[in-house]
Amino acid sequence: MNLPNRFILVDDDPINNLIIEHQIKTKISTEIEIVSFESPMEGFSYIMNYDGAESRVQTVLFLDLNMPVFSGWDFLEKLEKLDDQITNQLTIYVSSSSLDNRDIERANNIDLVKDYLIKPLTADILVGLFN
Amino acid sequence: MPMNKPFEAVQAEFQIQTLPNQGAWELDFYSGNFSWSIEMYSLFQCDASLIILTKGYVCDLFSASEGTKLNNWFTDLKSGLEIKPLDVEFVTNEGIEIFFRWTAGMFYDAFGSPQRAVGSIQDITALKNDEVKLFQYKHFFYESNDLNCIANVHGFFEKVNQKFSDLLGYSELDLVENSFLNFIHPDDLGSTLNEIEKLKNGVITLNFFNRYRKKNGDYVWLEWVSTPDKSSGKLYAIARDITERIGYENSLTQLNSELEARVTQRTIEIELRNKYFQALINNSSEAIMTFDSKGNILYQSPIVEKITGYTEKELSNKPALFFESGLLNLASQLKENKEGASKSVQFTICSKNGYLKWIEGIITKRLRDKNIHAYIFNFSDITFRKEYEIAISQSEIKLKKAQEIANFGSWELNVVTGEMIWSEVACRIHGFQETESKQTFETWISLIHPDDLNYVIANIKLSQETDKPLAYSYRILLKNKTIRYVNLDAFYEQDELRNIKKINGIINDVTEEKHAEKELLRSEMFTRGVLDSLTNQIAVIYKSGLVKETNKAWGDFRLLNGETYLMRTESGTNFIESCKYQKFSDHETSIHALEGISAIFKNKTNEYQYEYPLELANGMFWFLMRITKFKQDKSMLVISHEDITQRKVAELLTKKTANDLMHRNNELEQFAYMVSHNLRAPVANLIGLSDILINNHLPENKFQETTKGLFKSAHKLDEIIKDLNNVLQVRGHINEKKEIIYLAKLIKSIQVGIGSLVENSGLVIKADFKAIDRLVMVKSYIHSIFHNLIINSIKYRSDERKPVVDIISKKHNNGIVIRYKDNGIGFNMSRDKDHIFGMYKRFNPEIEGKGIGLYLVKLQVESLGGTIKLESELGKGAEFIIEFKN
Repeated sequence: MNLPNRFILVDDDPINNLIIEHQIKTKISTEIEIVSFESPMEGFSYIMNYDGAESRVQTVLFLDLNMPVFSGWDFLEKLEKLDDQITNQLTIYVSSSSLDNRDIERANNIDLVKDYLIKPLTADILVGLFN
Repeated sequence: MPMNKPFEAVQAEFQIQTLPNQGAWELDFYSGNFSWSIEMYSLFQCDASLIILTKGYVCDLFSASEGTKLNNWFTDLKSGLEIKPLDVEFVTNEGIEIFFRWTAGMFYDAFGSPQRAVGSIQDITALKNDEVKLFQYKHFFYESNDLNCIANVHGFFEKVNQKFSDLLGYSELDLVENSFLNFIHPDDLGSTLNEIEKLKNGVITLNFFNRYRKKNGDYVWLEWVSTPDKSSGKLYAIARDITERIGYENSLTQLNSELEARVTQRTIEIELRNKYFQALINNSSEAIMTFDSKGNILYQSPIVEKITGYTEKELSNKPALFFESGLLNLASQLKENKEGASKSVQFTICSKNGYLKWIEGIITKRLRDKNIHAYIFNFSDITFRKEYEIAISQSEIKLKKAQEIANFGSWELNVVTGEMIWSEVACRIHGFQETESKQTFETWISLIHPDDLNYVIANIKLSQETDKPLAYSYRILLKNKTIRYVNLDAFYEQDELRNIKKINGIINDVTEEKHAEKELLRSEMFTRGVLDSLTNQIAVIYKSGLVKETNKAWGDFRLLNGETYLMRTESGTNFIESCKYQKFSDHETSIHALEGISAIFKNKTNEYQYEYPLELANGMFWFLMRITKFKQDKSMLVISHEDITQRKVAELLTKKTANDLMHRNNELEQFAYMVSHNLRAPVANLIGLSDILINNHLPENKFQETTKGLFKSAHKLDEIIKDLNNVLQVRGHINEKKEIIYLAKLIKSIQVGIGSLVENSGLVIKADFKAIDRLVMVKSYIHSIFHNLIINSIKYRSDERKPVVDIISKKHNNGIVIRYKDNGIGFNMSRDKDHIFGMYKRFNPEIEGKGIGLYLVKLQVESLGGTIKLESELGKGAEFIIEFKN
């Protein structure tokens, strides 16, 4: 398994954060740090303050799309403006309950996005990502 | 009951007034007799005629514990102990609690023993209630979750509650002993002093913020509501800790500004690079210019100014300088070609100081290059080379002219001798060689066409009589039956006696021209016939505006519809001047006509089209005005008007149908999109949570948490399904009957229905239905529309002011307009304009809401055949404008 140093969960629905947190702890590892945000803006500030040069933290970001005020799309658009040194540390999975093909295509057309995961992230899907 | 004598005396002594809530009593310790004043019966609700008044009876009037208390008090009086007033609770037959205060005065006998007690009884319920209230206030002050304090205008706290001292970390004593100004952030001191000054004048503080220093040195943001008591100088104040909220607001601003700073940094780097290339271009010997497909010059290198004499700014106002040459046309031909395609071009321009300059260059298409987005024109000044070329070609022209002159023949007739001398060309024109020696007067006469002979002779005579030179045309009939058309100019030479001596004739063969003329005449007649049979109205005008020619339909239109309609001025009038005076009823079209004419003459386009409606006596018509180049002659153009009413009506109808369909389709797509997003979200949660439950043995607390999540998600799903049901009901056909709805009554009933919400928010609804007081529509929809709008106004009210809603109905353009306006927090129109009426759209993460209300409102308004739009300014309120057309 190729595991990151940190998981960041951004979803305005706390239940979903709970599900992923639980699955990571039981199926992946209890050691890896998990940081979850219900406010996408706080989540973005957190990432923005990553220091590119010194500490390199390989991070997996699970990002929801459908959030009020600051949507997942807004989030990605702002991420693209950050330095490569920061975004290089991120592996981004969009995780949404939407089955809409336009969403899937749009997300996959964004270079930063590694994959589009349809909710719920069951144990099988999650384990599959790191094998 | 008769009063005892001693009692009357006592009454006077205690100055007891017979007030309804006050009475007097007396207890004789010797006899044990008890008596009271008459009003006591009604106070205690007993019938004087039915009872025997004793101390025991009085005590029994009260509850067991209160009765014992009173009895003990009497005993204490008798034993001569200190006498204090006693408060006793009494419950009336109606169950109301009343407090009585007993007071007593003592009378002693000669031995100093108590003889009797006399006193008053007073209903002190009101006083008692005040005490309870005071207690509650104190409780509120000290125990409330708000930060409460009493301060004074001199800058000191008098009392603070526990919360307050907890928040700041100082003890109450610390806070009370120091001026509160010592705790305020230096930056906020000025505004705070200002606020105190206002409080001194009795102005209530609302929505005031300042920062207080905590014991640990941190600052907290406090929001104050403070009421001054002007007489005592006290301030009753409640504060709220809003540090977190302000932090949240700041974080977004900060986030944006940081991002902006990074973008600026990059921009600077790019600009440095640009400067390098700029220098490269400035020093090149070739001129560079870029322009867009409309002919706007976007950039020019400094060499351009050297060639043309115009600065960049001047040139951008004179795009015609380059584009009159057809440069733009060439560019537009490139448009079809691949990116990067190019074409070379040569033309003249007039430089600023009046010189003609020859330009040669290459246009390259770079429309898709994201850095250029334009056509590039590289060129240089080739005037010198060109002038040389022209000089050569001009001498060629002269030669040709000379050859043409060769077509002129001449002869000379000596009238006296009859001798005639012909030039070589004259011989040729008459069909023989100079060497054939036929150059006589007879030959000349014999070759004149017989039909023209009399005409020629008559002319010669006339000329002899009037003594004037002759010029006329006639035909020559050659031996081989060929006919030649000639022009003859004849001059006479006279002798001293003014007799004609000689005739000199210059003869010019114009057969070819004549044939062409005939051909032209025939074709003109043909064209005329075609033109006049057309239903399109056609006119040809000169550059000056002079109307050269019009067809029959053009003239007929004017005759049928009177003079007031544009563009059908007769030939000979000036079309452009007519348009400028705007004397026609459709001068809107005249503006377009002028624009079209100028565009054609400036070579900007080959054809100009404009469609316009025209109201005529027999109905509404649509015309297509087309202005085109006149191919054979650049100084003219053609204007035509085509009746396109039928096509236009069909087109408008199709457009409307298409719009309706598109609208419907958009709605369906939005609906499908919504279902895929919102309906699936809780389902995904349900599956995710079940996955955890099935695949893990969970500890008790985790199990609880997970099942709670299941429960929540299931409810959310249910809510969404209910919403969908609501929406689908509106989307279906309106089966419900229309009825008369009285607006004022409707609003009232909504207010009653959500009474507690209205009350808690303090919402005031002002309605003005004077203009339209009723609607005839589906009542449940109208009810739902206003219900949702009012709920919205309550939810999104502003903390800074009392929420007020203004509703007004008006007549407008045959229809009805209802304006619904609130003073809430409003919408961020620049950000959310397109989404406000969308399903499951929410704009404020701090306020609970599902984002269905306004979607329903819009659906319902539209189902009723109306439209709704919104005007709003963030922080100031929102105004919904609902319009129903008739």
